[in-house]
Amino acid sequence: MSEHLLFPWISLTVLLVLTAAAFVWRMPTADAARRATIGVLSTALPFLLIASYESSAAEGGRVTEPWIGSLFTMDALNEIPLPLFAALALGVTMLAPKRKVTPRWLSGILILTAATLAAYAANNLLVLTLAWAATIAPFLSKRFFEIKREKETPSWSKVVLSLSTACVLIGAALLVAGTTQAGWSNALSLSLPRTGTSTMLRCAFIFLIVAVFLRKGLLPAHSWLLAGFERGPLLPLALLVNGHLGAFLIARVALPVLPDVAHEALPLLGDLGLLTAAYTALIALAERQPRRLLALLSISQASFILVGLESNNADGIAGALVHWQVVAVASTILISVFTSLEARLGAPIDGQRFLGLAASAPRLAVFFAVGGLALVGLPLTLGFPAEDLLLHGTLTTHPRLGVVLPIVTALNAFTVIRLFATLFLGRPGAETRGLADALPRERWVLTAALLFLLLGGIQPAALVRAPAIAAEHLASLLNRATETLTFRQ
Amino acid sequence: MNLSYLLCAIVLLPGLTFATLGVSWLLGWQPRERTVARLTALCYSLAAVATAWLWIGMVNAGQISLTVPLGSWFSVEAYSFPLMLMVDRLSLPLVALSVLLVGVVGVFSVRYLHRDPGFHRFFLLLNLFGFGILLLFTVGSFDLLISGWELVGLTSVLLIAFFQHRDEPVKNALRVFATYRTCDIGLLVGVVMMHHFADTTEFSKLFTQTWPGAGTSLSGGGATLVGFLLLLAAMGKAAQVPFSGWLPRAMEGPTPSSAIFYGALSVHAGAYLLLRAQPILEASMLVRETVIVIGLLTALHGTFVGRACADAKTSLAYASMTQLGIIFMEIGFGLTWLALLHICGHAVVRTLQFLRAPSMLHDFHRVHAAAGGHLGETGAHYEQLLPEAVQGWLYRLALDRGHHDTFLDRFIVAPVIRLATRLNQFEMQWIAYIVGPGKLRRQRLSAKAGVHRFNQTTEDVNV
Repeated sequence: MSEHLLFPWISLTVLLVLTAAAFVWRMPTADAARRATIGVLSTALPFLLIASYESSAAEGGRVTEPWIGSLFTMDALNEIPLPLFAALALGVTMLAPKRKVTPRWLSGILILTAATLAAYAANNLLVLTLAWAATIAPFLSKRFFEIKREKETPSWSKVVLSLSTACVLIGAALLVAGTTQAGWSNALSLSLPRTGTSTMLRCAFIFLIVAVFLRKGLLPAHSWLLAGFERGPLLPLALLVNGHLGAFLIARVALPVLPDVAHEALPLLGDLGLLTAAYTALIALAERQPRRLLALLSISQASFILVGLESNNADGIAGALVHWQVVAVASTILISVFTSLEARLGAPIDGQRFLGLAASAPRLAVFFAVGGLALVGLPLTLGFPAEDLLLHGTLTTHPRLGVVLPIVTALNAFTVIRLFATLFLGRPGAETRGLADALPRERWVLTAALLFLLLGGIQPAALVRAPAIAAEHLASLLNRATETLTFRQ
Repeated sequence: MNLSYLLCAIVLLPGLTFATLGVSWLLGWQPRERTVARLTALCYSLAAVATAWLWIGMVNAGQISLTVPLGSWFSVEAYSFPLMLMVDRLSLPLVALSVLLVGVVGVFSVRYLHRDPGFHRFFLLLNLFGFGILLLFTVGSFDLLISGWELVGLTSVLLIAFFQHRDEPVKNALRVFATYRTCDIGLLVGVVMMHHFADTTEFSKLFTQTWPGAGTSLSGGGATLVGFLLLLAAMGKAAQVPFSGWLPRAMEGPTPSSAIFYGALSVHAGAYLLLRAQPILEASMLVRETVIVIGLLTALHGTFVGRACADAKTSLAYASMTQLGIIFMEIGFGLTWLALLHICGHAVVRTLQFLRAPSMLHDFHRVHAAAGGHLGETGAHYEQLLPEAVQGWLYRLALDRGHHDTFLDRFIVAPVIRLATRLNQFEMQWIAYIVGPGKLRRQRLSAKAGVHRFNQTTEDVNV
């Protein structure tokens, strides 16, 4: 197979979704807008699956698009995240409670989806940074997610997201400025490693890492996520967070483009990731409010991705990339089920007592429990191989620090079960009588998401293959950087 | 028939039954009680036949172990996760015992839980447990053993919270889950340490002889560290001192689940782990001595506290704990065959006792009637040997269950929760500062009023 896709599937998808965003914005009713959004995302998903298949079958493992230059590319690193994110956006659209959905809300989701897909597939720095910036646009404007009954995105979250975007732009500019002598196409390239540790490259790296630090919500910058989950629009924020663009920036830019600098500086980010995971898991023990618990769980488990990426070996990096898939799907299940419950109850849930919702909504209880347990590595789910690889990789490199991972996982597992018990177990109150169980559209979408996690857990080789190839490539780059450093010394 | 297929079938049958019942229910089909019961009975009957066939086949072929390599589950560079089933002289009796006892408990539960709203849920969890425990006993590597181990723990917790409309079982289930997860850290880290020190977790490579032969590729500090980590995991599952407080709390579940989990199989998983890791224990005298001391303390604790228990199921739980302590001592002394026999015998007797517990008064009266009068108390003469002051002190100790929970709560749980609370308060103040205290207060007040003021049906909400 050639190193080009048969058709520019990615450009077509991004264009289709962006165009749909413009049309949906003007639609008169929410129902029509939802149908159109579901139609567009359902069309985009097979396009990306085909592209993903072509990429996996390609000899070099990396394909670009035909006819329209090299804006987008697909390789082992993004061949799963691209269709997965489109599927998540489709799932969120179908699961969103009707009362929360407006044409503008859906338009915001479409813009976020198009921008995230473009960032994943970007073949040069310019596209990546612009797409990164576009992902936060719907959250900065008051016209997308802030509907009558929905809370507004806290200004603090907007400030942090803007700062993170500014850092990416500055970092990318410095990176380009540091390599313009090699020509513009090379300066913008994401596949050309910039060897050495010049001041310009170091500065570029620092800005990129600060961007990751802010976007991922690492300690002490995690409060924007807590405030956002507690007060902001939960489903769009979940989709934004589950893009994991921070981790993607490290895997796509920091590690392959700046291997020498990354080799020196990444351990700090890994340690910070571990500290964030431990800290948020700890404070979750004293927290009762479900929205904050969901935020803490998401932050803690997502921080593992950074720990894995920093582990310097293929097992740990592959574990991080598989864990990315798990966190994205599992936390979306948790947040979607929780949003459905809030919509059914018609009021915020405070988590001060057991609600006993399993009596009236047993299927939602099962979706929540399995999704939550997959997040923390339940055997027979995709979370188990992810956790196994992460643990193995991290403990191989850092035997002492790595011991913290299973402890944090144990704390998070307890939080998941406690949250499940609070929402679904105990004596049902009067307010929960007559509550509807999973509606057909919810049942099918959530079953599909669970099947992804369960089948991925029973036969993980298919979902581990691409991350393993990407991880081996990244680990070899880091090892080469280590050898160069040793040679210089 | 190929014996490898039989072994795979034994493990997969309960898993397939669980998957069939679970997925069909998720998609909206609710089978009748009779269908669920027949499906479960068919599953364990077939598994029993397959087990007998496998045993006879192995005896006829003179095989003492059967390994079924199923390839690599997933791999990255040089690391691969081996998928391998294995039965030998240790696991085959336990597989047979599991198939038999889960089947018996399934049949018993059909009547016991007839028309219970949780009937379907119970059988789902029972089949998942059956799959988990068979996986645990038949895997050929410690990597894969974690899967069975965690499934057993999870089903145990979900069945403790079976009567979910009451708050107390839910709280107890959370407590049990916390204990399990804490101790499971030992297994997770232990397995990774095996990779670190021996570069493998497969039984056939880690141990130089088939069970119960000694000899392992681990030695010195590595063996001691791995031994202690596995011991931590085993202590949690087998309710050994000081992690024994969860066992009486686990009695909140329905009686059949108490029988299969805390009388028969789940509590013996810890002993199985130590028996499987016997060569590692042999390589470290310190670990063996610790196993003996923990077993002794648990046996004493179990027998003292059991005498002060007022209800039948808790008494049985402490009696189980006593026997488990003795089994641990046997393992520590290297009496592996005795420990295996003890596990099998204890599991069968205790299951019978648990299943008869709801009819205990009836049985008691029947025995008295048969004996022609009241029977005298047994065991009282041991207590008479102690001075009266010590008897009183021991009684108070037994009433508070050895102060174990109090100790753990006061010195481990409370400081952690205190720290977490302070950090969380700081977080809330910080968020209140950055988003504006007025807004946050309004939001919190509305959250507090939240569900209480709700008085709508879902049709109004328009989900």
